[in-house]
Amino acid sequence: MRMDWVEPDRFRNLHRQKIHLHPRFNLVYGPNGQGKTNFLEAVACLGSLRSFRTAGKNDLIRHGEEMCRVSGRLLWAESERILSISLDQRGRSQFIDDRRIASPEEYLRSVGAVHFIPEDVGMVGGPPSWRRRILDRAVFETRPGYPSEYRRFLSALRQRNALFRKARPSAEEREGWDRALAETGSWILKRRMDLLGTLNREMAALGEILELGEGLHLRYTPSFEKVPGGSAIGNIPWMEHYETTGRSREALAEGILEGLFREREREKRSGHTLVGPHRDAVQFLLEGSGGPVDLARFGSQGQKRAAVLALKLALVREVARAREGEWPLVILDDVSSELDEARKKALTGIIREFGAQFLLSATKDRDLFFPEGEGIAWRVQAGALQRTA
Amino acid sequence: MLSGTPPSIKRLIEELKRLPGIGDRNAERLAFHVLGAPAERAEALARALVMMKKTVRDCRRCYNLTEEDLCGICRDPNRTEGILCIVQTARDLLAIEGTGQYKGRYHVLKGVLSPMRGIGPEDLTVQALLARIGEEGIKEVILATNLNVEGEATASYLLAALKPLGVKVSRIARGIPIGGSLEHADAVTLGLAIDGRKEL
Ligand SMILES: [Zn+2]
Repeated sequence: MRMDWVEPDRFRNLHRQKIHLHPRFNLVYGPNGQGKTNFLEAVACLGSLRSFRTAGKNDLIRHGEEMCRVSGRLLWAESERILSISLDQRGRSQFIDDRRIASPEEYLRSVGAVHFIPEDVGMVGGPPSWRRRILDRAVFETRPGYPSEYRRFLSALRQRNALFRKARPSAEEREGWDRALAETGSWILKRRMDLLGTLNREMAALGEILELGEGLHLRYTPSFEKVPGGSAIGNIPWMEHYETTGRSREALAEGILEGLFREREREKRSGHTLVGPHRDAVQFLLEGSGGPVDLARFGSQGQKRAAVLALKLALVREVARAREGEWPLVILDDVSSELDEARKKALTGIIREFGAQFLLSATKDRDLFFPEGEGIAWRVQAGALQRTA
Repeated sequence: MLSGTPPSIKRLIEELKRLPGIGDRNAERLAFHVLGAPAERAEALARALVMMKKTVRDCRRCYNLTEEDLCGICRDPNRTEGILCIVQTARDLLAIEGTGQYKGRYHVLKGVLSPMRGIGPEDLTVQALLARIGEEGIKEVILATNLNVEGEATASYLLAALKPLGVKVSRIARGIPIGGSLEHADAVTLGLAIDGRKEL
């Protein structure tokens, strides 16, 4: 899948310009504050219905205007679609071939995927919910049934939490909701773990190329296997490494049930469900010679940045594999300025091997290079894109 | 609606709008249709409504709809003894009857568990169900609640509640999509789901 052209209209400071993209590499460069990230954001909004910045719709609409729009044409091997999104005070609407698509899910399903890299490097050490969300988004992109599985789990979770407000539920009633949570939750665990099975291999390979050393991976620790009394993240000694992939869904459901049983007293006090996929830990680990190293605690800024980059690139590859070789569009915002020379060179090597279409931004035009004839570069000044190569 | 509409028409429109699937436009259309029809049609409609509410009640044994003390299924001597199919509503019972696959008797729960809406076992007909197991010598129970989260939780609850009574418990399965409701399943699918039930 690739984007043939894109046209922002009243989107932030961007000029209304139809930009024809190269099938492989597209670089926008120029000093900060001129609009290169705005252009990337416009494409990301069109492809994923969300901005990678924390932005309200009022930030996206150019000052003094009532609405904004981004349109573009997507090409597949055998088909094409005109996409468009518009934002005004009432909210967002999305269109495929001029037909309004009410459900964002349906739009995203037919559009394919756009991956923005990197997410905030804070993802490595931030709350575990960030890392769970990354996994869930990737599962969503590779498994069309996942959103409904996820909604089922959320519904079981809300119902079970509501049961804590009841004075004296019978043991049988509790068991009914324990099982509902375990059943629905085990599917979420299974999906995430299945993804990690292949993702971790990919991450390890990319981590090595990005000079992170050996064995970069995400360790997934279900909440029912946490060390009793230990906090969720950063507190698990490396000896407590659990082999979680390749387990049957039924075994995971059983694990959740047992966890709920063990946590019964603590749950009663807190009034919340403490075991389930909404409480699982995900950590960035490196397989050091002295055992796994938790990057959240011991990683340098550079290592964290490279680890996030490796994860995101691995996800891109995973999505391409799940979609039978249909690569998502990949957006890299100012990545090179954050990496040292060796990693920058390694990254250039990696993305040249990917079959995806890339949209890159950089402060200088030579920060990320691509071979003659394989890409287009634009200089961005005051919201206007000027083609230079 | 126009302020010139007489109050009695407005009242009917308001009442009609409480019905499921009836919006402003439809309610208005129906009200003016009744208004234009002969008086005896309107009276027949009103009588049918009042009669239904007055005569239809829950079967004393299974909570199916009936105009007698016991429903037609409970009175039918040709039904297989010793087996009960548990459904959420009388409508689900009708759906299963429609398959022609099931010859036993039923028990209507009159709802499903939902802590968020404050519904627990005490709000369903569970006590009556547990009493029936011994009284009627029930050997097998089929749980045919919906396959959404609430239906599954209710089935798990019933399994736990029935276990001490030593009955065989099975759950409808095959064919009904995950999260699906019985009401919307076709007869063939539902028939397969009963045939392919799994023992729990
Ligand atoms: Zn009856």
